[in-house]
Amino acid sequence: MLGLTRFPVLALVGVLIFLVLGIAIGFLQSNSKAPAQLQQGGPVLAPFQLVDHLGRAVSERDMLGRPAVLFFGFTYCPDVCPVTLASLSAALGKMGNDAGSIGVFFVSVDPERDTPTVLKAYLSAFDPRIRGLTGAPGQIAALAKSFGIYHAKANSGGEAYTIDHTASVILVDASGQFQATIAYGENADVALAKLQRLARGEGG
Amino acid sequence: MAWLFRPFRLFVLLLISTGGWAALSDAHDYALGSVSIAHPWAMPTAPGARTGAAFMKISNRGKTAVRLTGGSSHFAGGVEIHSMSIDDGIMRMRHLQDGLVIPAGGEAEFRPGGLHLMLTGLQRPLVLHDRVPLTLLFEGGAKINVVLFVDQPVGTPTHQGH
Repeated sequence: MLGLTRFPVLALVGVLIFLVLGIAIGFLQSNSKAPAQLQQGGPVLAPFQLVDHLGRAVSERDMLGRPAVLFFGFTYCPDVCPVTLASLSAALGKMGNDAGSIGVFFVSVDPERDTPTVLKAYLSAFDPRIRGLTGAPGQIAALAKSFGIYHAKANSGGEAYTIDHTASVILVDASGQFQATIAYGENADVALAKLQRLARGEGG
Repeated sequence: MAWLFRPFRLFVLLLISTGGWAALSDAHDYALGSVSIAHPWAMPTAPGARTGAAFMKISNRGKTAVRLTGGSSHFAGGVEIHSMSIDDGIMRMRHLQDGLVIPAGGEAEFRPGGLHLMLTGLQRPLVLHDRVPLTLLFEGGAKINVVLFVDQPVGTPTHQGH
């Protein structure tokens, strides 16, 4: 009889300990994860398959692992794109060794005209560390969508089209998380500081 | 139309006496009657780029509006008037197919981040310090010849060639 009464008590205590521990661990885990999950709420690099200006395949896996700078544009763009690429080139020149720890990508939103050959010639005017990306429109859209980049053909009518697109530079950390933007026309020193923080993994 | 024909003789005289507009390039300002052009310039273009952008200030001191309809240059397949705006971080460029009206007493400033004359179908890149002849066309047939100085935008660090 003693055994019969003791057993349910022990079982009950065991179940209670299990529950309390489980809840406590769950609570601790959710607590420790909560801030991280909040930070992870931002845009994240989505999978894509493109080619660079030398015709080499590039996917999100090539971009992950070190911070990345992304600028979306096209070679027929006569104003914003060359000015931004020239500014980025100047910043890279000032960053010294930090420049080597980031990847810098010029993503074409006009793959119809921007073949790897066109991109290669075009990028020869800028810092050689800037890699051009082009490829299937759907893949470019996937990459653009990761960070809410807007791009749309306008003025359609034969060869004379242009493309509306987000003019900001997107800074992405080594884990593919959006970190910050550099607006068109942003002060050069402020932009440089942002790039340096990105390169050093100091967060936005 | 009066603004066109009245100064025309002066225009011809100037052309003859100076051996062309290029000789006036020291001042780098151009005028035809009440319309004057200040500091026409263009950004250098990257190899393979098929378009370039030219900038200037066009002032109309006359009593009637004038309409810039386009231009031509032997460096380019075409010259188009474009507006450009950046709203909410999005760049939008439009070809102003009806041209650009410069009101009496008004001016139009073409500058980076705003209006530009787009040189399309470039046969070769515009290189720093190039001089690019450009003819501006106005409604009614008036033309003003200018020489674009190829230069870096003010405030943009000069990038080294590679």
